[in-house]
Amino acid sequence: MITLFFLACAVPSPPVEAPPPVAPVATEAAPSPAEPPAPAGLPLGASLAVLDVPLVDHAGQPRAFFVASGETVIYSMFYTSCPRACPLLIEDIQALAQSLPEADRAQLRVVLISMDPANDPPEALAGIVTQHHLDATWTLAVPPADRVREVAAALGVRYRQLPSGGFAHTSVLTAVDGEGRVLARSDGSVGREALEGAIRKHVAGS
Amino acid sequence: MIALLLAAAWAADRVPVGPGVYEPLYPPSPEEARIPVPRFLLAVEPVTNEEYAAFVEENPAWGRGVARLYADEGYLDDWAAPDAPGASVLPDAPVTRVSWYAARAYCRSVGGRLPTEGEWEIAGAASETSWDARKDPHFLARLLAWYGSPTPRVLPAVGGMANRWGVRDLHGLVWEWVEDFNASLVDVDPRGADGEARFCGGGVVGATAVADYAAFMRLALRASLQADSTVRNLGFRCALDGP
Repeated sequence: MITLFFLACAVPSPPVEAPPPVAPVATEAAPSPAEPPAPAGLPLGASLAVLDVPLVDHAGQPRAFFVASGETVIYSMFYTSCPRACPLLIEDIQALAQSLPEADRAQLRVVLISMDPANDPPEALAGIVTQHHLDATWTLAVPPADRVREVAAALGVRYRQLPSGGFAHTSVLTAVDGEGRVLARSDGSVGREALEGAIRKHVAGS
Repeated sequence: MIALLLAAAWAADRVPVGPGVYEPLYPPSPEEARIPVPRFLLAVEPVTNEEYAAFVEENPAWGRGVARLYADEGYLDDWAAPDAPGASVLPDAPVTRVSWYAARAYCRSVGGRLPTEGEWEIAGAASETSWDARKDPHFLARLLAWYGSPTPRVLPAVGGMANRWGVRDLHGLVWEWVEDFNASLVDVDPRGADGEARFCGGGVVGATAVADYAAFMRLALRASLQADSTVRNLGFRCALDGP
C-alpha cells in the first residue's frame, strides 16, 4: 500500500483510487474482488434512476437525481471552490463532448453534483456555469448536506472533507443511458477509453 | 407501530462514547493526523436479524427484492424468505449481508445514523478495562485471533462483554459499516502546489500505530467495500449526535 501512495504522488495525474489492498489479509471479511481493477461502482447495466436524493439545480429549481429525457448523461461530482481538479474535470468533459459529431452532441447531457452543499448554493453553481460558458446541456446541482455521500456512493466517488475545508476526491465519470442504466465509468485515466467508446456508440445509436 | 417499537428499543440501548481523538493509521496529511471526535451516542449492540426483519416488514422495499443500486445479489440471502429471516439464522444474531444503503436506511428509520469511522474507532479502541487498549498486547492478540478465524456458518447471538464505554460486540462477532467507509485512501489532489512534499513524504511513512495491525485490517476492509456490497460477516449498529 505504501508503494501505491508513492505512485499516486509521483504520477502527475488526478487522484486514482487505490485498489482494494485487502485480499491477502482478510479473506473472510472482504468480498472477493472478482473483477479486474476497473473503476469501482455499480455493475454496467444497473440503473441509477431509483436514487431518490433530491437536488437543487444552478437555476435554483428542484430536480430529481435522474430525469428521464432519452439522452445519454455523464454524471460526476465537484465543488465550486475546488482550485484545480474540478476546472480540469469540466474542461475534460467539454473536450469529450467536442469530440462527438456535432449532430450527436445535442444528445449528450452533463450533470455535475456538488459535494459541498454548505458553500455551493445555486448562485455559486450558476457562477461556474457562466465562468466556463456551459451551455444548456449542462446541469450543476446540489444535494442536501446529509445526502451527499449517497450520491457519491451511487457514482463510485470516494471523497473526504479536509480540515482546510476543501475535499480530497476521486474524479469518476459515469455515463448512463436514457433510462439511467450505467453504460461505462472512468476514474481518471482508468477506463477512460471504454467510457468514450460507450458514449460515442450510444449517442450515435439513439 | 413497529417503527415506534424499534425506536424505543434503540433509545434504551445506547450509551455515550467520547469525546476522543481519532488517529488514522495512515494520515493523508499532517492536518489529518489527529481528528477530534465529539461525544456521541452509540448502540450497545449491532442490529439483529429480528430488528432488521421488523424494519423490512415496515418497509417492504428493503426486502430481498430491493433495487440493484442499493444492494448486490447477496443481500439477505441467508434469510429463509425474501422478507423474513426464518429458522436459518438466529433472531438475536447480528444481521449481516446488508449493504451500506440498507444499514443507513435502517438507522434513519429509527432516528439515528451510522457512526463515522472516527467514532467507531474511538469506541472500538476500548477493552473491558481501558478506554484505549490499542497498545495492549492481550487485547490485540484477541482481535487478531478473531480476524484469523473463519466465520461460523450460523452467527452466534449478540451479548458479548461490555467494553469500558459499555458497548458490546464491536469485535469478535461481525465487522461493521461506518458512514464514511469510502473516505479513506483518497489522496489529496496531487496537483496541490504547496502540499505535494508534505503529502507524499511524511503522511505515508508515518503510520501512527505500527503495532495496530488490527486497525490496518479494518481500514483494508473498508477500502475494499462498495456501498452495495453485502458480506456474510459485515453488519452495523446505529449512532446519534452526542448528548
